[in-house]
Amino acid sequence: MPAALDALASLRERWRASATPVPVVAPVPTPWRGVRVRLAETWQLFPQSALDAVIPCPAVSRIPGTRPFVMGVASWQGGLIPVLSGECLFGLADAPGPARGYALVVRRRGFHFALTTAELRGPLTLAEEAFTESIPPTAPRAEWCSGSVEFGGQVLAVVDIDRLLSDPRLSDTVLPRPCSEESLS
Amino acid sequence: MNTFNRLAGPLFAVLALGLLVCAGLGLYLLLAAGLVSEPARPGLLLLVILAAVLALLAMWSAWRGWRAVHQRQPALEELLEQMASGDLTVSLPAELRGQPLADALESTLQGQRELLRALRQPFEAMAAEVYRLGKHNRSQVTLASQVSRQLQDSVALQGESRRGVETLLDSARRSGEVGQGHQQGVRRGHNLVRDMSRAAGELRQSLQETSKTAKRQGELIQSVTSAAEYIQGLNTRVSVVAINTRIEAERAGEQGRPLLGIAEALGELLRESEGEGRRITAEIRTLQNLSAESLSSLETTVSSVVTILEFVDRLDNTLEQTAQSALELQQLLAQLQESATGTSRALRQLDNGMGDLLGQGGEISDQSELLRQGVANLQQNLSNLGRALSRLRLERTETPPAADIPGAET
Repeated sequence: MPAALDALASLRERWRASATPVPVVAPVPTPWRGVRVRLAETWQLFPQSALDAVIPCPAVSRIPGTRPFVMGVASWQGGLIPVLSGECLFGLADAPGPARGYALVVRRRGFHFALTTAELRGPLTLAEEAFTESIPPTAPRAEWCSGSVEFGGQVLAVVDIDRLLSDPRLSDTVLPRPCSEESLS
Repeated sequence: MNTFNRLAGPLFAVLALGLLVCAGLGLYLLLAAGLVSEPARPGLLLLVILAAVLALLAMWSAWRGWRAVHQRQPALEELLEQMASGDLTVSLPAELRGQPLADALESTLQGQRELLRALRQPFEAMAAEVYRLGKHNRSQVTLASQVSRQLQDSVALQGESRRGVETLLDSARRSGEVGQGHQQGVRRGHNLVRDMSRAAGELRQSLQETSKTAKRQGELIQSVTSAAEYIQGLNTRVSVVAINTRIEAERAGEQGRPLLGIAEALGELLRESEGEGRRITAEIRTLQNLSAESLSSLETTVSSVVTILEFVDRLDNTLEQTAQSALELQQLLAQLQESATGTSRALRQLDNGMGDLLGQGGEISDQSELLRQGVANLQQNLSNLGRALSRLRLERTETPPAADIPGAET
């Protein structure tokens, strides 16, 4: 019996010496894809996963009684799509300016709208390692950002579309009415 | 003399008698020798008789004169001795008055008194004048020596003046040379200013041309900027196409992979293009800034050139004024040189004149010395004459006149 065990041990050693190791498959990092947009005079990164399309700023029809960042509705691919002003939403402007630049069509569960931007660059493909958790102080809306990355000599904030959509201010687009005598009565 | 006067009468009588005897003896001898002819004998005899008569008359006359004199001899001798001693105060005794000799003597004495009176007054005046002349001569000798010393000092000062004038002449000559050099320098400066003015004018024209070129360059830069902005807009539109392509490719899944590759390649090209566009934009901006700076610099340069032209104009005017001043200065120096030359010539003539004057001063000194000696001799002679005159007295109570002339050298 010991002899058998020794034989098995030597056999195991022989196999170990002659065996070919299993190749280790390195995990392929998933690159970050998106575009660089200028919102409220600040360059930020916008993820491609949230985009449905990028279109030139369409002609919009105003919707009365909506908040200022709601520019109106536009016709796109046979349907109507609300158009939000990126300048007004991310900036401190009280009223949106004239429609110019491009519109980022965002399609999410329950949300389908276009966000205007004055300028954009892209497409970009960045490694995930380049991203950090810190938010640059120049970001106009830090609560809608999930991190930052250094690109082209400057630190750009990355817009987190989920945080943007979870903000209740975006959901409430109705302009609050002033108190009338009827409502008071 | 008195002895001769005393013996003159007898001697004359003896001499006349002796001559009469000799004449008689001679006649006898002539007759005895037969040397006289017979017809001549009466005439000769008459002649001898006549001579004997005349001799007797002479003897008689001499005898009377001798007696007249020697009978009054003591009074006359005393009188004559007093007169000989200079005492003109004598008066003739009463026993001698009326005689011719006494009258003549009285008249002579009176004449001598008048002559002495007439001599004394001019003599005293002459003595005083000679004294003043001697005094004046001494002061003149002193003055002549002073003048001689002053002349020597003047000659020395004149030599210094001549040297000063020659130095001034030399300085004026050098100043003239320096002035000529200065004038040439001003002329060269004038030419330089003219060249500078012409160069500044050409530079201004060139700057104006360059300014036009710079403006044209600015317009071209503006056009290139517009083109770059247009290219940038095209890049943006291509970016949008690439983004949409990539979105569609991802949406298509495995089948959209070639489209994704195209989108990625398009993105790479866009990035390169964007980088180049950014670089071109930056360079265009730099070029714009440089053009603006060049324009500003050109305007500043044109303004500076205009200022330089004004300065050149002022410098030209100043140089002309300087040239005019240098010319006037040179004329003044020429006049000064002429004046100094004339002064030097006059000083040389004055030097010669001073030499002559110095020689004449020496001669004057010598002549003053001779004059002094002559005046001294004259004083001595006048003193001697005064002493001689002082022996002659006109009054009994009169004090003899000054024997010595004051200041006379003995």
